[in-house]
Amino acid sequence: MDTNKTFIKLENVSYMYDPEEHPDVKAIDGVSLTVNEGEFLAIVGPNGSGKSTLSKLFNGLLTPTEGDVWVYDINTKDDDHITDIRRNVAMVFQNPDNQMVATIVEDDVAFGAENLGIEPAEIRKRIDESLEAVSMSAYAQRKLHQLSGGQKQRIAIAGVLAMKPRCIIFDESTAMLDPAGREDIIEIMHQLNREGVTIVFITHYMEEITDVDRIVILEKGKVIAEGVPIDIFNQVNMLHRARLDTPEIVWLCSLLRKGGLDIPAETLTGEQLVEALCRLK
Amino acid sequence: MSIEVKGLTHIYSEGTVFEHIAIEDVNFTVGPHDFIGIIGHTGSGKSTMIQHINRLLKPTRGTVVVNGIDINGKDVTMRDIVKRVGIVFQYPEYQLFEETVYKDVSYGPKNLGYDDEKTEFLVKQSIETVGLDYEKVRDMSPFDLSGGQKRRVAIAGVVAMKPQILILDEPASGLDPAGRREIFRMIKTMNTDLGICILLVSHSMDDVAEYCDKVMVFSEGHMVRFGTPGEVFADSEYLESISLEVPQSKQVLEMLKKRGIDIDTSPYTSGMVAEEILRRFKK
Amino acid sequence: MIKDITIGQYYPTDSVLHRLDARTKLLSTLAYIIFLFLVKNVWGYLAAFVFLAVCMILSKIPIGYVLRGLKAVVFILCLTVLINLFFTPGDVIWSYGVMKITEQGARMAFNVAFRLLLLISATSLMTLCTDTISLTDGMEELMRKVPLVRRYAHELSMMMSIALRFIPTLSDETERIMKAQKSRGADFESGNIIRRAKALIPILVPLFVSAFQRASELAMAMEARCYRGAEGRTRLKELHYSKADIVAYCIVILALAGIWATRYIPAP
Repeated sequence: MDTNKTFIKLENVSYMYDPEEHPDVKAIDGVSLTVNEGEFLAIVGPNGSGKSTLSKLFNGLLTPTEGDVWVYDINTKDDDHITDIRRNVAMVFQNPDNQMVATIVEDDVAFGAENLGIEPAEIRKRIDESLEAVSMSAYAQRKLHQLSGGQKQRIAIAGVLAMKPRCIIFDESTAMLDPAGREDIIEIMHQLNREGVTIVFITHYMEEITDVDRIVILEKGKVIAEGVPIDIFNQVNMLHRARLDTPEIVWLCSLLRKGGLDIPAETLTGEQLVEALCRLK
Repeated sequence: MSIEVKGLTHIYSEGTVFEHIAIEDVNFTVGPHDFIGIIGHTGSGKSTMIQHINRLLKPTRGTVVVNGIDINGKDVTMRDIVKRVGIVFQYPEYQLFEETVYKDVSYGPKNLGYDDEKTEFLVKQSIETVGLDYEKVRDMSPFDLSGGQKRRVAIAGVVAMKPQILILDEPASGLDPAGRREIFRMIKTMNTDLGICILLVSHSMDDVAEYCDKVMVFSEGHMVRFGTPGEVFADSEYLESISLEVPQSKQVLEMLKKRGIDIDTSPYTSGMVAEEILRRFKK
Repeated sequence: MIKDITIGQYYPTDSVLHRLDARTKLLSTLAYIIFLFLVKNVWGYLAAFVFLAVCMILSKIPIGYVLRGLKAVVFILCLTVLINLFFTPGDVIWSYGVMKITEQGARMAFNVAFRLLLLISATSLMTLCTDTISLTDGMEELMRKVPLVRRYAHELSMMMSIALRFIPTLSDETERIMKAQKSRGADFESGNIIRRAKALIPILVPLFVSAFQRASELAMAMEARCYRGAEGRTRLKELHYSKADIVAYCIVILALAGIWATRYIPAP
């Protein structure tokens, strides 16, 4: 996959919720950022860092107070093309209950496709494919409120898949789930990414993003660090200052290094650590 | 002893087609100053169990005795119970309703019939216990606070009733890593300094391993394990069989052991594990 | 209590009623309700009852489930019946102190009770055998035929469908908030009416706050899924009349005619 082609570009973007009264309170403060075609990008930041605001700028749910956001060559301020942007840059939100419009699973999955004016026969086909992709085919006729949080979130993913987007933004979509549900959703994200869908994942759980392509750290509306997981995780002090954590194993490695053991910097998983230790012997 | 649960069984809609056994024959005793972690999957029965400790649910069978009082006894009022047992539900900020932080936190003490002086004392004390500045927040609207501060005010609303037993269901969910740590440390302080008995429901093995003295494991309506973290995590094969994850650092020790390295697999926090590895690998 | 409301809760079975077009069911129910108010005597209620009972059997929905929906309205029903029973002027047939029942009052109470019962059962049966999307789509189609309402047909039906979708969510939420406030010593069961009403504030405020929060998040989620109102929108399930609907209309018309005819049978 060609991961060098720019898909979404933010140029010096600032966002204020109340530019008249409080022009100095910037939720997003001069951020320049690109999302490349086919990549798996994670955006991490503490509560109140502006990451949720940032995610809504990607598909024109919010438009920047200053600067521009481009999806390919369309500006998100261009109202005539906003549907083109949103069908390509889809979004899964945090609270599964607050993004469902219908009572029955398949009706909800159909919603986005219906809005795009797709023929009923084609919608039917897309529902089947989307539910299959998230392993929920057996639930097509079930009532949404009887499903678990993780299952609801899978239905939300199926709902955006039915629009056939090129990019999906997961805005803290795992935050309200239990560990099993969380694992399912992350597995689906990787699966979709392998099939060519660009993924932007917003979270504050470091354990979830050990195998992404790139991590961006956001603090107080600004990008304070950017890089591949290993580089980011090993900046222990920076992460702690930003109220974030290192993954458990990376933390363990840093304790071992302090204790004088020679553990290679690229150790991210338990298996890798065991390998490294066995080589030491 | 402070909580004594015997033969506790709860069946929803007993005798109908919707009959569902949520918990069955749960027995345990918890001491007055214990810090207990409760783990288990969604639907394992842990949230049904905790609601019995303050009579939000009544047992189908079995007894719950708190500080020597059978809380389902005839003469026991709900007020007698909530005075002793506080519950902080998941996302407790959703229960805030008053115009000011002070009024909201005082809701509990007022319901208990305390006078203004005592109420004010309790409100001040509890707001400080949760790590907020009393003078600064007392007249603020709880809805103007940040997410983390709202959570603390909601917890203060329960702490203000001076419970001897405090039950918290996933108190840190949705908070960033630093916020999580702050909340858990605050709870730990309530346990060590104020002597409150804590029952903490959590999905995170790492957090339970770090803060709790004892761990209760629920699976399919049964309490399947109850012991110190060391004892419970020692049987990692069993935990995996009910798809609960062992703390990650501990998994490293077990992988090393499988590789034939002579190492003690009982440590379970990252600090303890690092020590053990260093002991074994440093010449 | 909210859990007992079965109106608007779809109960899937493979019955002939479920397969009918939503518009058929909506119009038939509406006509049935109108005819209930034209009934003059006990024969009429009997006829209306028999028709509804046949529909219930055809729907294959457990009778207990339909009746559960009535539990929520028992209070209103009893209240209306009692008011009619005791406060209708006329020829006194029974009295005790200041309480008196008149013949007219007894008749009125009987009428009101039956009307309400049949009306609610019919509506609840209709919603039980029509999934929400078809139901709201059907309403939208019917509203399009009505002048003035036409312009808002889509918005009204979307509001309806979202409201139905959120009933279970908000009912769970209410229970959760009640439990939380109970744990803080709230007492919803004792005291006079004013005290009890006041005790509800700690539940209602959080419920509204959360409902508004949900509404704003939902609006954003709908926008993200390219929602722009009715314009250019297609439907997964398109409404279409089949032969069964024509047959159903005929049966309903005959049944209603039957109910009408009872007006001419002398009351017992």
